[in-house]
Amino acid sequence: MELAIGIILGCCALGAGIAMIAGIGPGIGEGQAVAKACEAIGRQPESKGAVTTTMIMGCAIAETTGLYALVIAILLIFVAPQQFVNVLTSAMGK
Amino acid sequence: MKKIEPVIWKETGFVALVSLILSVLMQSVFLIISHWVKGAWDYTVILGNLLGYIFAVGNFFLMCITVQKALGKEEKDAANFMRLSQLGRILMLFVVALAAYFIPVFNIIAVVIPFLFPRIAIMFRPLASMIKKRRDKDE
Repeated sequence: MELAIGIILGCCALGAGIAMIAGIGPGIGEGQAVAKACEAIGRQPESKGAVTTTMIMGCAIAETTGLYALVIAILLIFVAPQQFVNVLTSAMGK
Repeated sequence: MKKIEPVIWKETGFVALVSLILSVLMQSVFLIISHWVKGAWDYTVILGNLLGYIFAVGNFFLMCITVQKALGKEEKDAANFMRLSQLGRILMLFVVALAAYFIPVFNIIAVVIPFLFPRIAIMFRPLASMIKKRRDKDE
């Protein structure tokens, strides 16, 4: 029983860690996008307003992947282990 | 301190409004679930939702300010600044979730779900702009 619980907890932690790999991408992507936006504003300073609006929308969308990963990781760390252990305990009880 | 551009207030206001509507929707879903699962909806869900909502909208607002600041920097500095900001904001949300887990007055699921609301709000943004454009055209 203890071994099974240990495996569940370990797998949940491992899953959370793997999920957070997706958190790296948005940072790199947003950085690249903003760098290019800076370049565009440097070339055409009058387009700053339009570029800012587009950048805000773009960054918000790009960041979603990281947030999905974070939510999955949080659920795997804090919520899933208890649920899995409950399922295991009830299955063992039967 | 640099002045915050009006577009940031406008977008944050829109995101806050849509997130509020989605929060009400989430509360009603919890309420419906509580008919079958006893204790699914209580004050912890409301407090958790409030905490998640504040930090989700706050995260969006901070991202907007970061974009504004980054656009005034050199290319390389802007990219690094954006990466650093993203890391900091993700860590902030993680700490909020951690606090929600250890403080028993918050429901962790009700805290985490609102983090995704700004994305849904952004999804509705083109639709809202289209409706506004059509209304302006009619007038």
